[in-house]
Amino acid sequence: MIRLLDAGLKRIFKSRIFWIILFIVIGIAVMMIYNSYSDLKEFDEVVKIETLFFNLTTVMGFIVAIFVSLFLGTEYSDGTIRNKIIMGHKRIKIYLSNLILTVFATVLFYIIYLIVISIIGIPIFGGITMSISNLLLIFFDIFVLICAYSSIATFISMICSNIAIATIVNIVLILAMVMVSISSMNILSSPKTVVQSTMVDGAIQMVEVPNPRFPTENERNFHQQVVNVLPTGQSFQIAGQTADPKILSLYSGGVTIIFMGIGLYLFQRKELK
Amino acid sequence: MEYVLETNNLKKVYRDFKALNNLNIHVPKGSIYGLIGKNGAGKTTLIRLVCGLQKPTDGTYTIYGVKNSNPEILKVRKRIGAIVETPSIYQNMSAKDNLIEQFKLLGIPNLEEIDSLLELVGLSNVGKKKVKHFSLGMKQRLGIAVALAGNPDFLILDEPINGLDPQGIIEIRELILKLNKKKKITILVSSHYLDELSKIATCYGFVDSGQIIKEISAEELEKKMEQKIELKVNEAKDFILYFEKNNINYEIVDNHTINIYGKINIPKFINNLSKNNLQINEIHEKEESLENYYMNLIGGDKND
Repeated sequence: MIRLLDAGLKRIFKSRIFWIILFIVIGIAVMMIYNSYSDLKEFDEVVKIETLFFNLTTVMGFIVAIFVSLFLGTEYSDGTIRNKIIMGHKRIKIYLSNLILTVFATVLFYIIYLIVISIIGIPIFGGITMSISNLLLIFFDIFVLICAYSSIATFISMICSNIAIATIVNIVLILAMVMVSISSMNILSSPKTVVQSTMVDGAIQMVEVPNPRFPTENERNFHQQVVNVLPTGQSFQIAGQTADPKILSLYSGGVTIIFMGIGLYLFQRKELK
Repeated sequence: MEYVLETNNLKKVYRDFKALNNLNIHVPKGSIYGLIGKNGAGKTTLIRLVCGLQKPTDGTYTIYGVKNSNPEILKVRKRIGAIVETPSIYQNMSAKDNLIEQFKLLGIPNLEEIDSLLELVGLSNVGKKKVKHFSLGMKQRLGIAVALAGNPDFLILDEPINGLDPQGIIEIRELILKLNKKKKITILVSSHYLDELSKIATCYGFVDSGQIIKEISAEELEKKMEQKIELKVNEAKDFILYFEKNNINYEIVDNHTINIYGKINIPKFINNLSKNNLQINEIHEKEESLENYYMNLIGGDKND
């Protein structure tokens, strides 16, 4: 396994897609600071640096999907995965090393993002206001969330031998998860009552009535579960700091293990060409 | 004879298609084994199974005496280098970086050997040029260099000259011969280019419809491909004593057919037979080529 990781690490730093995404992440960090600075100047908004720390999670799914598809897909398109099998590496180790490498690269993207935000952001917006323990807990959530995204993307890229199809499937899947998460979050945030205008004796009156679209208790539970289980839902909750950080990592951990398990099972049986 | 690779009724079925159908092959140690067969005969499927890329549906194979079901097979695989269909190399890396990757995967800390490997395959002057800018022949040679990392003693090359220009074909041929003679590497090389294989192979395996229909050494094959005279006689055994006495290279095909190999003055030969009271019914002069031999083996037109 160490040999696979050693060779993989070298390949990460030689890979063009790694450096392209790294520059994109740095660009995102600078853009977020600029936007927050504009809000500070124009609307006198209070900007908390930790909010900026967590914002990258909202696009993390796409970053992982693109990086993993292209990085691991190359193994199939260039045929180099065959070398690992021919020289006697176990398939389980090949799969796990690829998963570890993608997690490593994504964590590295996040660390670089945090460094840029800290270096430029802290002098402008001030230091961290959140308790360190809470901050570390959320960082842990982000780490497990990265594992979940990587596990899904690694699963798809290791099972699908076609790099183009794997990339499309990974991106479309993230898009679909974003849409489902947003839709569930909208339902969850719908108000209990709505103001309705009615005509009473020829005059318009505004009356507060129960919202007919307000979800029932069961529906709320269902949509909350959807948002918790989907990594994209977790991303939004982390960025908005709307969920209990103690439970989010459990959901991400579950997603990681499930996809890793299915991926390992299928990759062991995969017929390579 | 010691065999590097042996298979026992190896079978591979893809849905309804039998790619390998009880295939039995014996690759002798130190040989250049030419695996000949048309496209779809089962050459690449056999190589994929032996390389561990796919699992057999039935049957077994042994590499250096270790059965495929034995967990030790993973260790034995370290003694194999292979190119399956296309060279397995990173297109966006240089030749050297590709070899460094392979060395790291093999756990070889000393990277000094990389330069000598590049020199061996004639790529010592490519510098940092990325593989995607290489010619097909250069890619093929780099693929062989990658396969040679870790000093394997069994090299499997699947269609190594496919798509190469004449110069590329000569380079690969010379490289294969050099590896076999100087480094004592056993080489299994598959191809449907009969002429090319005949220039390097020391053993042949003819594959058709997922089976090895004939295994033959280059020596035996050469004998068969010499000028041949076919005699139709009443009793073949009556001729043995005369042939032995006169050092005539012969083969009894059946009780009524004898093949005579080598250049012979036919009128004189018939006259001598007659003097010895050996009567022949028919005589046919035949010239066998590897192509004819192959076509006869696989049943000629019916397989085309």
